[in-house]
Amino acid sequence: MGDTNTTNDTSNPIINQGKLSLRDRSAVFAAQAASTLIKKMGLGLGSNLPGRIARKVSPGVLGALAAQSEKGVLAVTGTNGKSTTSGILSSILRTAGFTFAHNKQGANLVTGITASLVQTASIIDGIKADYCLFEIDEAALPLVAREAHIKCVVVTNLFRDQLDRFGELDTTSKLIAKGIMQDKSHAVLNADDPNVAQMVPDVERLFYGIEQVESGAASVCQVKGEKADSTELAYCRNCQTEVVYDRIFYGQIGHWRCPACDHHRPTPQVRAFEVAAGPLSSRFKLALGDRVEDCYLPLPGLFNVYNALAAAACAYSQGVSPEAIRSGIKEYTTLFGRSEKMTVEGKPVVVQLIKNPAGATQAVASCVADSNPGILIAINDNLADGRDVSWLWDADFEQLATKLSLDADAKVTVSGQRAEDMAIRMKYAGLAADRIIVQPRLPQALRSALDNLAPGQTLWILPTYTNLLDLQKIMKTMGAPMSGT
Amino acid sequence: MELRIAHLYAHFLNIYGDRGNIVALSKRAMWRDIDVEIKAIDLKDEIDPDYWDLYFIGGGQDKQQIVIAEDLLAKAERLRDAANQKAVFLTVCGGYQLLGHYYRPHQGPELRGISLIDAYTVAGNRRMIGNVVVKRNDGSTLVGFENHSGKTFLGKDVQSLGKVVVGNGNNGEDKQEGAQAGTVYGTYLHGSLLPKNPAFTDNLIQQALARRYGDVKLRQLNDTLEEQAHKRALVLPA
Ligand SMILES: [Zn+2]
Repeated sequence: MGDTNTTNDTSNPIINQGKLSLRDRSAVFAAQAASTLIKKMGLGLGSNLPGRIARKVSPGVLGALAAQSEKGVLAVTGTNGKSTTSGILSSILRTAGFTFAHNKQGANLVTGITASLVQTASIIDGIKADYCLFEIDEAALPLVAREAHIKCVVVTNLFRDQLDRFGELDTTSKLIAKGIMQDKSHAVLNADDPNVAQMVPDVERLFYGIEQVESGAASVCQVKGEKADSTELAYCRNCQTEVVYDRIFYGQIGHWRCPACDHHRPTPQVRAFEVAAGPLSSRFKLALGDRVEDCYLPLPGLFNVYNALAAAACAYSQGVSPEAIRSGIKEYTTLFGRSEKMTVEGKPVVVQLIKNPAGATQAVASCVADSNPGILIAINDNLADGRDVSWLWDADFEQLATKLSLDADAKVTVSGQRAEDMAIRMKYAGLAADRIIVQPRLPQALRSALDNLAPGQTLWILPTYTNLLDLQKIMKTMGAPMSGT
Repeated sequence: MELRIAHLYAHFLNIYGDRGNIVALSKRAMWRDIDVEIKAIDLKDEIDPDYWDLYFIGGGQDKQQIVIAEDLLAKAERLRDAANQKAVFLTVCGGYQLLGHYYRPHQGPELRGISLIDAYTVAGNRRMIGNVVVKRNDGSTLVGFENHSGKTFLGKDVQSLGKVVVGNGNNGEDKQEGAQAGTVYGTYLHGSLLPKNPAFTDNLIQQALARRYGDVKLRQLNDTLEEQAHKRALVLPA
């Protein structure tokens, strides 16, 4: 998976903030020894064991290492887009010449973050970097904040995600707010998501948002004072009235206001306008205060424009120049399974992880924007995927069924432990049963999807998390390693 | 022929794939050339008990449950009238609980239900989450996913939908799942429930149509995919 990314540039000497205590150095040593041993023995024990060992030796090791970063800890959290946002942010920071320690993709709980950090640390000096950049699970944010001082927290959005894990959206929102309030971190917030924008009124805040969209967002609609037609409910923090919208981009994301009091979407300091979101990339104008930059983002979909905005806003808050922000966005290379473009047996393939209704609806919108997409959807129900597949019924697969029904030859392949659930989802979305190929085993499903691809056609693969891990292994054997392999 | 579906509180109670149930009812009717009318009935909306054939109430988050309990009480008389006219009620999770006599939380006042089902619910200490298989009296099975901490206990005037073979069901104690009182149904199963249980769905449609059209024979559909999904769900781990 994603490599631990300490860009230690020797031409750019870094003054160490503080020496590590003997105990913390022992923790780093023990964890690194364990990690070497795990690799040597070929044990696939995952990335967390060294973190657990380090924390046993020195419970304060995460805080101690994080405190060594010269300019502090930047954290990215929220339901969707954490990995992509921190990926774009690292691209911007790299372009701007900063060094940083970054946790491994997916290792976004306390032990995983500790593991990533101890493995990049030197036993003598610990962390030598300008920043620590952490992608943090929503529920883990308050735990990390209790141990490490977080300078700035970026929140992407709040959607329903694996209800069997959190129970309620409110709970998630409170956890994030608690994490931010711990040290009164600077908050970089999505102005267009009412559940995020109203989250922490009492800290210093910077808002980002989309002003206006030219094209590419199927669900953009201009409405006057409508409630969101969405599974997410949003209320005014002042008077508890449900908010209404003058413009909805997707889900509950848009220009909201309270119909009862004068509370409304805050005006963002970092804004995108003239947004043209295409099937493989997007263009938009990016306003940073008074400066306007023409941006090219090598990622599809409006949701990724939000990820770029979140990263840009965080960089802007750190004083990064507009030029570096623009070029960091442009130079971004896709992450493992996040709109990842690759070539398999000479055929173009895009892999987009799906895990909840909002994200899946956006991923499907990207496929539908392609003129003639090949489709493979793989659904598992392991813990990491969410055991409950009900969410498939809350995502908009109808747009895909409608699109595929227009083409007499178009088929969809469904795979994974819950291939049959996905099959009936497509059937009830309106696709004829004889156009649905059910192949629970992923290698065979991929084989058949590739074989059925017409010349010039792109295969869009939408896997849940553990299917994505399987896909990574399969791609490797096919000589098409995915990023981070 | 026309099937008229009232989706109560569609705007608030819409988690856990409740949409899938509405989609399954309407598609399976439409595939038989039966027209379908669906209306979302919101807070404070009037209900015409003579009009609707089928009422659906789904599950929501705790925050919404209190507001809805209050509104449901205001609608109670008309809903009772509808049930007496043999309209079909399908209620899932939170909706199911509010059709009983009351829901008693850990603290705070009881939420009064509308007593269309002789049952009551008390807040439990553990969340019952996972796949469920229910064996019905006629030997058929229902499959779905449960996620609730409320424990529902049935009274004498109501029978369960069947015996739990996998999972917890109503309360995790008496091995019963769901409730049926005439044409009024309650269940903890989502997943979504109806797409993967096509025979159960057809039975609901038939009963709903019977109210105005008498005994209606539904044309057989090709349910190969649905049956595959049902079969697969029978062997999923709890
Ligand atoms: Zn208000």
